[in-house]
Amino acid sequence: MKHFIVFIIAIFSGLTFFYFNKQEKSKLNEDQTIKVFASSSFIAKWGPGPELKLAFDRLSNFKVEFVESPDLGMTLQKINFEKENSQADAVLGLDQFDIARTASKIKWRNLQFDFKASVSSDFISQNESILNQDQFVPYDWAPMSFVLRKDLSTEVASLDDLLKPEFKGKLALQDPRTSSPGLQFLAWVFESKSEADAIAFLKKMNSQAHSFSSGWSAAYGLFKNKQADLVFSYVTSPLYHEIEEKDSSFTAIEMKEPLQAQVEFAGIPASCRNCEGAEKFLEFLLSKEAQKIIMNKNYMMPVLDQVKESTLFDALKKYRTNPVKFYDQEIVTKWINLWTEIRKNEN
Amino acid sequence: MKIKRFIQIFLSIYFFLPFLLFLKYFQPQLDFDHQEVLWALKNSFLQGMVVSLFVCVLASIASFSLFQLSRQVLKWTRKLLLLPQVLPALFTILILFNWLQPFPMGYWGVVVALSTVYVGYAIVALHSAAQEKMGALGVVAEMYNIRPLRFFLKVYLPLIYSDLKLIFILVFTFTFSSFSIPLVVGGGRSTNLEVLIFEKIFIDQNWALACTLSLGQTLFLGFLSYAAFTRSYIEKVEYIPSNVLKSWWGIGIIYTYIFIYVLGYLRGLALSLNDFQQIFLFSNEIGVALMNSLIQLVLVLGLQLGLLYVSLKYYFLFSRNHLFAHLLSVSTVVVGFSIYLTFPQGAGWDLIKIPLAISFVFFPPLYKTFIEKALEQMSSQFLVGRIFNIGSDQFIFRVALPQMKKILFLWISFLTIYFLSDYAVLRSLGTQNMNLGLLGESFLSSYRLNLSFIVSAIILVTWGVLIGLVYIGLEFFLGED
Repeated sequence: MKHFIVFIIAIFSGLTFFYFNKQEKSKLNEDQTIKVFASSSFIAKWGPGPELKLAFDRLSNFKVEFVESPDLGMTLQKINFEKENSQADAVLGLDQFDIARTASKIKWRNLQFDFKASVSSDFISQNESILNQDQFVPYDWAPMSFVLRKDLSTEVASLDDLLKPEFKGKLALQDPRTSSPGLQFLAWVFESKSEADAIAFLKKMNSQAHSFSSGWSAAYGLFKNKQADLVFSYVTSPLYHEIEEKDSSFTAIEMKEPLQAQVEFAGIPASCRNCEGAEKFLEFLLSKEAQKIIMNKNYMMPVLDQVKESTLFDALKKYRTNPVKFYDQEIVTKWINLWTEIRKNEN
Repeated sequence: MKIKRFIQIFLSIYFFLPFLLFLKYFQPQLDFDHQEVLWALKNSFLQGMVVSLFVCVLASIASFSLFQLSRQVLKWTRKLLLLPQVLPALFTILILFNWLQPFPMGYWGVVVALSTVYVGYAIVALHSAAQEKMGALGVVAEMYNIRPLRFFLKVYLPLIYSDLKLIFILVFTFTFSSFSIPLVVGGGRSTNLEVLIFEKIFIDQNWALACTLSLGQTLFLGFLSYAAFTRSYIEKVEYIPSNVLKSWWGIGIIYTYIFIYVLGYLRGLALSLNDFQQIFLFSNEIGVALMNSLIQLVLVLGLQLGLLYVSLKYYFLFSRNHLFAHLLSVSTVVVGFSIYLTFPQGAGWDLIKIPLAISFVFFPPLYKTFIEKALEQMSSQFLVGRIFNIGSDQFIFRVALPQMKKILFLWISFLTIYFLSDYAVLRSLGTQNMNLGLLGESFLSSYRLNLSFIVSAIILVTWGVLIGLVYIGLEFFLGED
């Protein structure tokens, strides 16, 4: 036993020495490295990260190093704490809610390049709020609606249709307290109805919901497992099944009410070390090549229209959407509190 | 004397390190909405109480009936009973939803789902405890013609009372702080303390309050454990099989449970095989994840063995367990976030961060479950060792550890499978190296539920191989003594 412990300690020390030594060497190239914080699904082999890195490294003198974010909230808090010592040159995966939440906590750099000129005019004209800021670059987006199997017999054309008795316990939703899509659904209801109607609707939705999962993946898993008939997801979700699984039996529904759109942004913290490189990378995200990679790997719509041409994304229905808004934190908190009260008094 | 003081201080600082780090970054925030917290606390408490009560009742009946199984059948039954403990919560939910239609969503849904996760573990733990105490009691009962039901009520339950209390507290602790299952199946009551903590982070970005609540939760559960444990241990005795230890009710519970869970899991796995060709597409990632898991596991085990050694030394020197044994549910938020803030991010740092975090989260509850009892059972030997002035190292390596072979095997088995399948702790650290647990979770959050099922099977196979090696290793190192 004693020998075993000595053996383990020796391995532990060896590996530690090896890695620290390796890190020292890698510091030599630090000037050229851009540290980009992104989610695990973005960095994974099946995500856009690896191809983006290859393409960017080929085109520029800088090298991208992706750093996996455990959770965006944690990453932003770490940047906030570390201030000037923060390693982050760029952060990817911010949505409208994150931007509103962190506006007062983290200083973001005003971008030196005009991203609005690169983004398709259609996208910008529908989303004026994006024009009114110079700190965050939108790099993909998708309207959010309910996804279902095409063989579902009941028609759904509006939010109120979701209250049909056939859908009792059949909707897979996400908890808005823990999930971004859940928050989008809540915002959608309040955007589409007066406050009183929204509250009445949410009360009725309690019995329609199969469950409120902690995140998108659990809700989607329940739907895929045929536990729920509909799931709140991205209108681009059916494309994943069509392209990757050759299964075209899924569709996202168009509703009477314009849909909420989830936009993903990239930003550069004011504490960036390689600010020039980070700017170049964000600019690159709006290139045709990068947009194509993001579209194909992230299954989200590009912000440059021409990228979609002659792809399945082009064939996707044009969904009417509400303009993108950066909601005040008080409004979001009020909605959440109302929702929580409704859930509390469910029975 | 110096060593004695050093070990005491080391253990105190080490296991409270996440909290100390937390206090470095945040001022605890006490001005919160008391009503909101009380509501969440009430839900957590009710959830914990009902689930642990339900689990304990079922486990007492079922553990009794394990005595009637032959050695080989028992071995496999115990392994299968532990399956729900190690698979992601979503799998349990899917399995239950497949069997129970309509699933009783809401309060009873939480009870059913969480009980499913913990009852197998409780049965195994109770049976192990009872086996060590049963001795010839069954044979004696048989001679006096005592019926099984009477034996169960008058002998078996009092015999396992202290272990039942331990299981109750452990299950209460785990369910009190559970997160995903109450959210999916819990309805309005899903707002427990853990959900509230997450909400404070996700919606309000109020880390100070979130961490204060996490800290409060950990300390509350620690205090509960401290207050509840005044256990007295009986020396381990050899079990002699008897016919009185039979309960067809218990066998019914066990095999219904295994049938529902294992068949449900195998069904999911069989459906996932439709996407089996995708495994080849990601074979490189799976290979790398497996390698990373193995490297990290060596370090995790190394650190835990080191901590075990220090804890044994503490027990030898102080004749009692250290207070850390009561940290049954150290918050993942506190551990993950304090380590994430303290250490830089980089693949190399993972090799430090992962063993540290896993030790904070898993060492105390596993110590409580397995090691503490074994030490108490050997307390008289420790006393003799001290009286005869035997060196602590000599006593630990020559006397204590060889007697703990079975316990060490169980301890390492649990630690291995908990680590291999973990993603929550590792994700919260900002880990840069993908391992098997993280890979399964990543597949799950990118439309690839089927691949996630396959990865879970790979984890189980890896675990099987590793515990085989551990068994051989323990036989080699501790066998002769």
